[in-house]
Amino acid sequence: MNGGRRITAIIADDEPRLADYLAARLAALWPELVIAGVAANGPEAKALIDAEAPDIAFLDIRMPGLTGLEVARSAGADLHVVFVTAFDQYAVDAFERAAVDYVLKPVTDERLAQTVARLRKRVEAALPAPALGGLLATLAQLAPQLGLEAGTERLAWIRASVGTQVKLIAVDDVCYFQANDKYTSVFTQEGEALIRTPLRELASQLDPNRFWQVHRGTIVNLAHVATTTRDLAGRVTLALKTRAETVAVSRAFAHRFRQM
Amino acid sequence: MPSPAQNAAPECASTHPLELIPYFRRFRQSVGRDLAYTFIWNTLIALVFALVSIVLDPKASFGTELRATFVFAQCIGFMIHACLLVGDRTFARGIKNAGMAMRTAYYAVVPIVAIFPGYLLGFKILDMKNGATWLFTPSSIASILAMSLLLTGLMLLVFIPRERAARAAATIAREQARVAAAEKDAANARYQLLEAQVEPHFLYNTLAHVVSLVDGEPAVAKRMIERLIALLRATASAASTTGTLGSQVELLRAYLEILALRMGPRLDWRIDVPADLAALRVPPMLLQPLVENAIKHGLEPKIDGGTLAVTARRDGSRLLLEVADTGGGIRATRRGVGSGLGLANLRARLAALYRDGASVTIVDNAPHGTRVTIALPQDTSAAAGNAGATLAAATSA
Repeated sequence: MNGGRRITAIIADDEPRLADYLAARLAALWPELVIAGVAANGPEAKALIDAEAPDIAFLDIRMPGLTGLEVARSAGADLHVVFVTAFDQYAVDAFERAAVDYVLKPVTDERLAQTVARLRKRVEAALPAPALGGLLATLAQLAPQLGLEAGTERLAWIRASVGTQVKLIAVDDVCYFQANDKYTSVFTQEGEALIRTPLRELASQLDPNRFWQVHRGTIVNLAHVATTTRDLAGRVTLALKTRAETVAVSRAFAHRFRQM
Repeated sequence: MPSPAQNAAPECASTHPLELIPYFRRFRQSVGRDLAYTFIWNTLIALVFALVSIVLDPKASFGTELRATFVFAQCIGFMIHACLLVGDRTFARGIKNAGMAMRTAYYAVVPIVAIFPGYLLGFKILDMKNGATWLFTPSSIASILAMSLLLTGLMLLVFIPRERAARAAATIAREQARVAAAEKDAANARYQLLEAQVEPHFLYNTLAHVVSLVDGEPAVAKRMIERLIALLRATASAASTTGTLGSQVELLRAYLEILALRMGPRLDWRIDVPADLAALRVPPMLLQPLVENAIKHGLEPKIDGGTLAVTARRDGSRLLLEVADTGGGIRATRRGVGSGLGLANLRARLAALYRDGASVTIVDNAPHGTRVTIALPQDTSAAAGNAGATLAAATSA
């Protein structure tokens, strides 16, 4: 038993009406539960959990700043987490398998009553919260299906100054990058733009399966290569689909274009 | 720099030995070119042999030597040329599919076989009666073999690198085709999903709001259901027809009103489309993906939210459609593949409709956020509008 200590909970949802509604339904179904605070985004939820040390946290999965999963990961093991989600089929399957509490929006009294009954039993008997480690690892792998991003950070957009504007160029549209003194030239079908990022720095951020370094000063987007030609001396040059000029491949990188 | 002709002709079977000299690589391969090349090649060989003869035998006359070597070189050269021409035509498929060793053997054996009738022809022309006797002595056969193997080696120098390049190009082309097909499928799937339905996450969250509002604020709940119905209707019809700009704006209005109710003070929005532009016919689903992007990637992830503005205006002969947000802006990096905004899909659709006439430009929206502008050629959209109107009239009649 908790020796008369009040059981506390926090609610985190970036849509305030939904948080208020959940608080109202909890007040009706579990009058003794104290709602210690309501957070409108991930960082607020984290701060609230740190400050109030609640027994229970109702966490929306998609929130600005930090997702509900990230907030849960950063919390202590004794926190009972209930995920609140509108539609995340993959997450729901994972919750079911890991026996972790969750409720679906719109929240119904019947479903919330089940969750409350289970939480009451666990918290009042001081049972440990179900371990989240395995679940969170599973969900991290499912992040793309959840609409949350995962995997290696890759450069997706190039910011290039064109006059007074900063133009955004999708890396997919880039034919090739060429080192150019202190700058790097970005060649697209439309033309050439200059950026300040050195080629070496770019290379580390690009997807190595799609962008190949073909010369000390050149990285080419394979999707834009039309043909390769090897001359008598073994020099390889690349013709491009959307630009007239050819790109030279240096000896050090020519092996990548040998027949397989 | 390679010539375009070289890029266009990676075919190896017809490579001419004269292409050992870079100058001769610039002309596109043809029967006439090859015959001319053979003549030049033979003449060069004749010159070399004549020079060698007078060096070895200073008493010999250069003119006489040149005349003899010229005749032999032309006879042998054209005989080889003819044999290879017939051989290449006869065994075209076999040569193409054969391995490197088989091809090398073929290009070594055919010239050697052809040398003998070439010599005999030369003896005939020069009226050398004892030529045939000399030709079939072991020492002459050995020197002919050595010479032809040398020439074959030279030819291999030309066609082995070309064959490699051609195979590498084919490998890359196959890989690209595979990647492109996969990407196209994925893009199609996403697009169809986008067309066919309102995102489930959006739908359930909206319904959750309606549930939360029913008891306390029934008027707002009613308004939200009405807007949701309008959105579902507009979405169902938006994909199937070339609607007007006005109908797309109505869809956006329903979408943004729902989001504003949900996000509260975090979302501030306005739509500024002049009445005279609303009647223009435009391709379906142009603005909706841009607005969804602005919400999903710009404003929703931002704790304070921001402003979203949709505007349409004329710029000379173009129609400019703009979606600007003051959100977090597009992050330079992303996990996963691609830009994640489905803009490639939008670009592809516009390119299919207008070729180079339409464009999509993305810029940073100072001081923060993103601004996406679609420029459509006005005349074309007006013409499409007329066609669409005629079609609509015909269907309704």
